[in-house]
Amino acid sequence: MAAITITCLSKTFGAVKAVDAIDLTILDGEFVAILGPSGCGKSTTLFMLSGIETPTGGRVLFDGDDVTAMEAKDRSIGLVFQSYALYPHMTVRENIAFPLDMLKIPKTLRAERVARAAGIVQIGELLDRRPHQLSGGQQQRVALARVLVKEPRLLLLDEPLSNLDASLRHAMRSEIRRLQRRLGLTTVLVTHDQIEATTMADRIVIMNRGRIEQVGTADELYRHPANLFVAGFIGSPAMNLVTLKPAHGEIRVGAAAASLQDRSLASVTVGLRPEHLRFAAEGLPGRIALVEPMGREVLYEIETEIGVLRLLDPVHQIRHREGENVSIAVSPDNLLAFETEEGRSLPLTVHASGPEVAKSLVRSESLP
Amino acid sequence: MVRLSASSRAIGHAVTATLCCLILIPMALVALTAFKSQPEVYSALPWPQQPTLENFRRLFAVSFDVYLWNSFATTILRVAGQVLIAVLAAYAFARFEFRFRNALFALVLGALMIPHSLTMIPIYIMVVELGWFDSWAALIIPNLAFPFGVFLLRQHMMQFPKPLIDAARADGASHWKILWRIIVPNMGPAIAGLVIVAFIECWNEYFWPLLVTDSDKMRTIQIGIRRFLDSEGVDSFGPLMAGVTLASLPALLVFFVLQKRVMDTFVSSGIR
Repeated sequence: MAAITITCLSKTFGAVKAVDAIDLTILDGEFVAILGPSGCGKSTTLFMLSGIETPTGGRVLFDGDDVTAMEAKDRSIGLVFQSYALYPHMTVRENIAFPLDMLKIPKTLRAERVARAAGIVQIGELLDRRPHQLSGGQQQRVALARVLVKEPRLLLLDEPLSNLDASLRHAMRSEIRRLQRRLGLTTVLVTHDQIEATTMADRIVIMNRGRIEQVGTADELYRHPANLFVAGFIGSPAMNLVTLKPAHGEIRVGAAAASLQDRSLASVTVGLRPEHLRFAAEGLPGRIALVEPMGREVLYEIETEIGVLRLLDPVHQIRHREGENVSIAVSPDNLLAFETEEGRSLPLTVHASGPEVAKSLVRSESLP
Repeated sequence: MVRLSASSRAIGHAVTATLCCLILIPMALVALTAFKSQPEVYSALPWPQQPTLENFRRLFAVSFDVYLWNSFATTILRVAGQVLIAVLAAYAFARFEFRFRNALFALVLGALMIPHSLTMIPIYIMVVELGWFDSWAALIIPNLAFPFGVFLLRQHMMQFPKPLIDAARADGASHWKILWRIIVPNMGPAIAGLVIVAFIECWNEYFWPLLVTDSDKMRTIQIGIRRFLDSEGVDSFGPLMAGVTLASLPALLVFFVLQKRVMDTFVSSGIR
């Protein structure tokens, strides 16, 4: 097991900065997910941790030892690929034994360790098959066994679940998590799926355009996004972002009001999570533009003075029809504010909450 | 896929059937003549009335076995060497970053375009100066570098799935192990294709062995067969045909065994 420290790590491909001077510390035994959209540099970061990509700048430390220039084979890492990368010409047994063969581990010991790794991921009966004879989920387990057999100090997972169907993905998610807990393996998972990241990881690193936007627990990222990018990226359905002009340093959405520390701001972007909005007798008036039943909940798109807002109603029946006039309320505690230009989060002081309809909304404009 | 009308399909079949006949009839005549007795060789009947192995016996009476052995051994050694060098060079071109890599690869491609006959004389002089004249070395070594093989295998290695190579690296494999344990076992079709091309080219080679061998004990089969054409006059047609039949067999055999793989290989590398 290892604690990982990354300092000022960069990678450029020609003129493109794939990873731009990132710093990150991962604790021993921690499960960290790197989450971000395609091309944000998350996989490149993982491959630099593994030693497969060579950084163009910065350092990687494992337990305080500089491994930046170390070959992948000397780092004691286990890497699981999105495509599983099982060797097609070898049986499952040979696939799992391959790393041990490379480590020149005696044959008798090899068989024992292969059996143990296969047991951990429950593929004991598949050992004599070839990869093409296995289902996606089974291939995934073989890939896991192949890295666990090495007893690595760091487990690296590159979108390991994205090729599985939904139910299998759910099962593998909890299985990998249980395994990681049981073995106490320091693990880094790269994913673009926020559910995967939030359900599996102790901490989540949000990356965008080669930079780290925020590091935190799922709850921290959800409640206190550091900037507009994180606010928009975390949460499903995505957060409503509307631009408002504060009046005397105060922003209002319906009856909910909060004060900004900086009273000079001419414009702020307010974030409202669809699940925090609710229908109320009085509040921000609006008209239902679209109703999307999602099974357990219903998502409404509502045209209001401040822009189109999505509201997630936790009741599975459709309570309002398209074209109907409604009022929306939100608790002031759930208001988030961001600099419109820079996107940084702004601290808010909540000071008013009440049932009366706010008429003091100054100007509205919805973000694209 | 374009669906052809019945009439154009019929025309297509007729054309291919005619072409097949044009190629197969002489081959069949050769094979059938090989089994004819001497008086029958010039008979109008294409097949032997009294099939005999006499021609084959006469063939082996004049050191045909030596030619056969020379051809087999030098072809196998040469093809093995060609494939080995092509695999190693292709891996270097496909996987290593080094200075002048592209320029060097352009040179390899350039070598593909230089006619063999142009380089034959200088190589012949080198072979003689090295003292290799009339030896297996002369038949094998100058041909070991096989630019087409390097080109073909490089193209295949460039397309080899990167995650497999990365996984092997993470599993602790060196370049050598990655090449022989991961890449080569998965390049069966490409290597089979290369073996066929190299085998047929080497087996059928006529001019180079003629140039660099002199004694009977170094001649290859293609030159050996010629003996029956020049020296022994009219009555040697039977053994000549028997020799041609035997000489065609290995190349045909290799091709039939591996032909599907060859087609796959050339289609997937864009060469038809």
